[in-house]
Amino acid sequence: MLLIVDDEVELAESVSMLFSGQNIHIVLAHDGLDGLSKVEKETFDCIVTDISMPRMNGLLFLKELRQRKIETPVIIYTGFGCEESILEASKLGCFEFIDKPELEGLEETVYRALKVGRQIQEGTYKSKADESDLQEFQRLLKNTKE
Amino acid sequence: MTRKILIADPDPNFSGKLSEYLQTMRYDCYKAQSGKDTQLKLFQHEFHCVILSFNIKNHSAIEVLNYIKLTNPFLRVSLLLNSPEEVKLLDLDNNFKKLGIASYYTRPIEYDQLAKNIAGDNLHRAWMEVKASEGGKSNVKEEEVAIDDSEFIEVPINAYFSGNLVCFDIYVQLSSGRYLLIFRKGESFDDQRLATYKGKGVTQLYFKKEDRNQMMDYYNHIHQKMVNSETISDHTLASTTKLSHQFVFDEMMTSGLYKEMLDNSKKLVTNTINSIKRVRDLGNFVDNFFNDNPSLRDHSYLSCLYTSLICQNLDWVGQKSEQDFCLASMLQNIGLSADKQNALVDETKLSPEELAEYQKHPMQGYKVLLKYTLSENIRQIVLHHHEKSDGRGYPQNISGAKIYPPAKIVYVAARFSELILLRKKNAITVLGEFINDRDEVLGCDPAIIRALITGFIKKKESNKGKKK
Repeated sequence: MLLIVDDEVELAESVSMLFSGQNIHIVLAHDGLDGLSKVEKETFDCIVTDISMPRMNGLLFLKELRQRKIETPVIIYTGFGCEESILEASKLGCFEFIDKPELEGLEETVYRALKVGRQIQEGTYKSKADESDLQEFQRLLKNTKE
Repeated sequence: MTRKILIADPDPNFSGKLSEYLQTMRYDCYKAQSGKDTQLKLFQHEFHCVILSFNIKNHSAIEVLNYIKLTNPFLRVSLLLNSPEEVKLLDLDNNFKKLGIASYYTRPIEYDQLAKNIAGDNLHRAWMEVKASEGGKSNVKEEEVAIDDSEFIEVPINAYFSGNLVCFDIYVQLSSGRYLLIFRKGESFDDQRLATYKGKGVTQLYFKKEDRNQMMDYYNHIHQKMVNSETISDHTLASTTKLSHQFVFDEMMTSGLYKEMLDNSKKLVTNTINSIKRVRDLGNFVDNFFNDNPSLRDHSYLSCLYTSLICQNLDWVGQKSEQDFCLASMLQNIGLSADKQNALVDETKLSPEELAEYQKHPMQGYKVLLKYTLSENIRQIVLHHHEKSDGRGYPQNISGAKIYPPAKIVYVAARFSELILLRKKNAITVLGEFINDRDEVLGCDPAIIRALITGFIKKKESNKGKKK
């Protein structure tokens, strides 16, 4: 499940076209508020959002998500003049920033984010190592030695 | 590949003659007689540089400069003025950076000087090609010169490679401040003569710092050839990779991130990634460069190698991302002030005040990079490269999923490199120590640690296969 939040309908649609025929369910929202209402109804594995939008911008949308303890990976499009918002957003946890208007690498990033998002939903995502990892690393380490 | 130059001048005679001159240097020259036409051509083509006359009409030179600043801020622009009065009028000595121009000239224009400054590395390569086709000079005599040591860069004699033509003036050091010029730029290269110096115990060659930009380009070229050659040993490839990093790092830290600099950094990153893919004996590749005073330059180099190794063993990193992550690993310490650029800092040995100051560098680096047209990806990695998954990092003290994921790769690569350099041990020994240190590993993303170890295992297996 992928949510694309952008007030520029054409851009949102062209982004969704990138994933057509890929067995990914895509939902479009036109601003942050619209995005929140979609998130309340469904669980998404990844969210792609613009920063500059009417009613509720991408930064406020991200803040709302995090306040509601929604840890879905969020990919943000960035453009000129949003440096402060980017810095704020980076504290809240973004999966990746994609430079607008090229959107180079978006497809690859979305696939990665979807994978992580699914692991988060399933409770299998690990962002830091634990004891079981330490034991596995010890086993692996033996294979590096002559 | 021929590069394009745009000459924007209302006088067709002038642009015609300049164009003819630059074409002899293998440039593809385009001409525009009005500001409007200039902007149109800038929109239609990708130029290496623009030579812009201040008296251009129908969109003034200032309007054209503003257009360039907005659309392609890295484009090199040389401004041509009619008189020194115009220089004063524009206060160019103070304003030229603000206007977005790389250099300016008053008429009459000296073509040689103009061409040298606008073209940078490309002119150098064109020059080499022309000279090589003419055949170089031979039997040039050595000459003793007195030049300050600070004007030179050192290159190990075994790491110097030359084609048929010598591309740079080459010196050996006699004593501090005294050098012997042993090869002149443009001369035919004589392997025997270099071997004589090796026989005399010369271990280092010296090059002028002003040639570093060209050396960066030249070594990228050599490096690429080596990567594609099966006959080049891992050791030779490693020393060239390190030397190329040295040129790029030093140029970056002293001259900033200008366009050719970034282009060369990207080429170097590609060569480094391909070197890591090609090399079989990873230990031999990374372990022969320790010295008593580990530097940030060494750290930048090793971090880039290990970032690439980790990326190649993580299923979610694509080609474009690997390039960005490796470039970010090279730029990670760009926020440190110039006086701290040399020595690698051991944080455990800093006073609380020094540590607080040091910990500002990721944010400072982020702010420095805001001045450049770079992927936000790279800036975010620089900002988060000291954050730890358990929240004990800095500058934002964030944890887990809030840390920018690619920054976690650079964190592991950089930390591992730092331990290798500070402990002065080989990589495989430090890998063991790193993995056995619970404090270190529990602060990391497990998938990334796994990728690092897997990288070593795969290289070991491929090396075994080769030996069989």
